Amino acid sequence: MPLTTYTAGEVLTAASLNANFSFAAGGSGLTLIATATPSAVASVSINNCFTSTYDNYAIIVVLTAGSLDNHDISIRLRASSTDATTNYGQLALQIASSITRFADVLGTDEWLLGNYDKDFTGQYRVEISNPNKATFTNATITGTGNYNTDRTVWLSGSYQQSSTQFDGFTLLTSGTITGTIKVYGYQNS
Amino acid sequence: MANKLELDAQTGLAVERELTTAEKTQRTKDQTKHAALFETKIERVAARQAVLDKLGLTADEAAALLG
Repeated sequence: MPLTTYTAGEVLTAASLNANFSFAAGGSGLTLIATATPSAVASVSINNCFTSTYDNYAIIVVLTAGSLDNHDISIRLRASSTDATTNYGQLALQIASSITRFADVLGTDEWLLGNYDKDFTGQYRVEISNPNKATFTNATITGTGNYNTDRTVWLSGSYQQSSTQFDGFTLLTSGTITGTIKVYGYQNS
Repeated sequence: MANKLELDAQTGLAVERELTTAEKTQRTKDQTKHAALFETKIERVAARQAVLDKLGLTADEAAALLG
């Protein structure tokens, strides 16, 4: 329902007011579900962020400092505080001045978000659909980070071929993670 | 010491704790895999450069040729 604007003397109905309250509560179409601010940790798990309330989610990861040169950051979905380590797949395009490649990457135990470096910042976005439904979960992942002294862009289509109802995820790296992670839910209507 | 930050989105409770034994084992396995992937990337870059050297082309010239 769109926002209703009232005029002087108009009789307000409960339905109209309630529709406006709903609009005000979630008018942007996105609802912030969780924010994590890790500092030099090996991994970050956010539990109970995927529920039946939303079908689609955005995970935005902004890294401000790493601990190593040239490493990767990855994500695993989880259910009941346990990471899933099977049934993943990913097709990706990595673009940098030193290398451009199309890849079927990282095997079947995780999704790659992109490259990461201690001397650069990074930003990664995961658009994920139906993680909490008993069906396959798909995601589109974009990222900009650093690889071998080059800035890199990472674009991927990612899929999780199990019917597990995931309720969270874990970010992983070979070094440490410092930055901000936000999870948003897209309103279904 | 490797730590993990765990946040519950329902309660807002965040806990930083040491990795469990199982998590440490998985992390070691992941690190080995990612190191191998990085080596593969380096080999690809080196192989590309070797071809360019044989042809006597710079990276920019090769990009112009293929673009």
